[in-house]
Amino acid sequence: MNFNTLLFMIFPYVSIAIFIIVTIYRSIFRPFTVSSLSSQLLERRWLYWGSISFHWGVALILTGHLLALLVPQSLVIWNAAPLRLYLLELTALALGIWCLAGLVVLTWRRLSNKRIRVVTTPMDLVIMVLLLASVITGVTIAIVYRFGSYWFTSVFSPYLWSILTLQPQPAIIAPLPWVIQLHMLNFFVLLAVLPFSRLIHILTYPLGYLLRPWQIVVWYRRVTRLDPRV
Amino acid sequence: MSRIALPIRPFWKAAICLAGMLLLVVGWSSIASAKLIAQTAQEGELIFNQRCTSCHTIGGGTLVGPDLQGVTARRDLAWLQQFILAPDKMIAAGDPIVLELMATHNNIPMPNLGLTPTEVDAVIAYLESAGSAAPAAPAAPAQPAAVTGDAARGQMLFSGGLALQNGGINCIACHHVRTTAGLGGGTLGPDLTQVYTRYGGDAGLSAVLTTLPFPNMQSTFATRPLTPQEQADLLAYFRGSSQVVAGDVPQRSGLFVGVAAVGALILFGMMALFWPLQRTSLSNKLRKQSQ
Repeated sequence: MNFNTLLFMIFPYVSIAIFIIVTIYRSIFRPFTVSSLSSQLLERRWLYWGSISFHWGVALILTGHLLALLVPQSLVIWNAAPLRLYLLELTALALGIWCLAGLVVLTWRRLSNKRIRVVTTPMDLVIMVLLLASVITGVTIAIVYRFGSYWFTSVFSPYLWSILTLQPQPAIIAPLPWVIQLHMLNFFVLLAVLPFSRLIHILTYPLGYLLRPWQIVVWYRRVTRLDPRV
Repeated sequence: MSRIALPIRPFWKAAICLAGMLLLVVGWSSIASAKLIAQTAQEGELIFNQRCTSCHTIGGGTLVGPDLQGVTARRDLAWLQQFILAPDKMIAAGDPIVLELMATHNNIPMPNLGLTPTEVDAVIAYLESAGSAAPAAPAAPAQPAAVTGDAARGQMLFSGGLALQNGGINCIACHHVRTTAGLGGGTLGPDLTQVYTRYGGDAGLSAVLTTLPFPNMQSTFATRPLTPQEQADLLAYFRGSSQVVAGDVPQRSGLFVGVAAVGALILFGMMALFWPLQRTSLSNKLRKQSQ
């Protein structure tokens, strides 16, 4: 067995199994731990610049990846004209840089702010490193190995479908440059770690709020300090 | 979903289930991989037909590369394995046999095929069986077809104006040619401006275009080959581009990154506009009201 088989055929299934089983276990038996654990109350200014850019950036880029996986032909058709290809690639790279900058702000905030450091768990640091690796390799690939939006459809779409349909063909990605393989591997690591961390909030969608009777919060405590910055 | 309704503390059960599942997955995948590894001369024949026949025959005479009839007797097994596994390394190392072969074959280097050692062994097993059996029917592989190519169509096939008939993706996804306007072509694969010269003109390049034996291209083009017309058009296009002086229109990495960075700055600028529109927390609202 070589590394290609181990990392891109066996590990993906291990990772998917962990992801599914632990997610189900956690949502049934530890439902109140399924949370993003917001630290907005502790620090608000840097969070705005980091969180919004990171979350919007990563959500849009992940949507792009998902689109390339589910309907690769749509991208092939879009990219048929060089101008459209350039527009898509420039937009994606801009979002990538935006997202990376946001993530750097969030990392810096988590490491430097005393109040945030107190609530930081080791697992937070683990996913921070994994996310940084993911976004840095992603932006690197977008710059160095152009044009990802196009070749994804003929390299990663077949590879990922081979995994999802239980006919794994890890050899497809074996000849790719190591940065691209690292990006893929890092995704499977993230997937395995996701259910053990606050990243599980990706899977929550507050649909319950639509049906729940609304609540009014009334404060009666006397306000002692007036500081809008906190 | 209250915890009272579930009287058991199922942590250890879940742990055992998880471990069992993992064992199952690992075991099952290793069985599957063992099956993959079972290569034979038959598989070697498949690989040979798919990857080698654009340049080599067995007993059919010299094409781009030498006739491989009896090659297993001519060369060491170790040399063959090494060369088929990584021709680029042998060329870079200046192996005397390789250099001599290149000198007698228009200096066309054998491309790296990205075969695994087991696949190489399968190919060698096939070469041994086919080469010693019979100098049989020279199943003449697709010779450079008698199709005339159109450089303008080739240009459109390269950059996307025309879709490839069998469903491959256009070259611009990974390749650059210096005449491409705008931001140029992709950079996953090599610059193809001089590819016509590199592969020794018509004979060499048309052989390569037939099967595109490069590891990263095989996942697509092994099952979606270029049609003879497309091969001819691209050949004509590359023939033209090879006459372009190097450095005519450079690849615009700087421009690409620069424009995207400006885009990211604009996004941050938009965030600045939204800063005052944030919902203040209820406590802040009450504080403001009490002032």
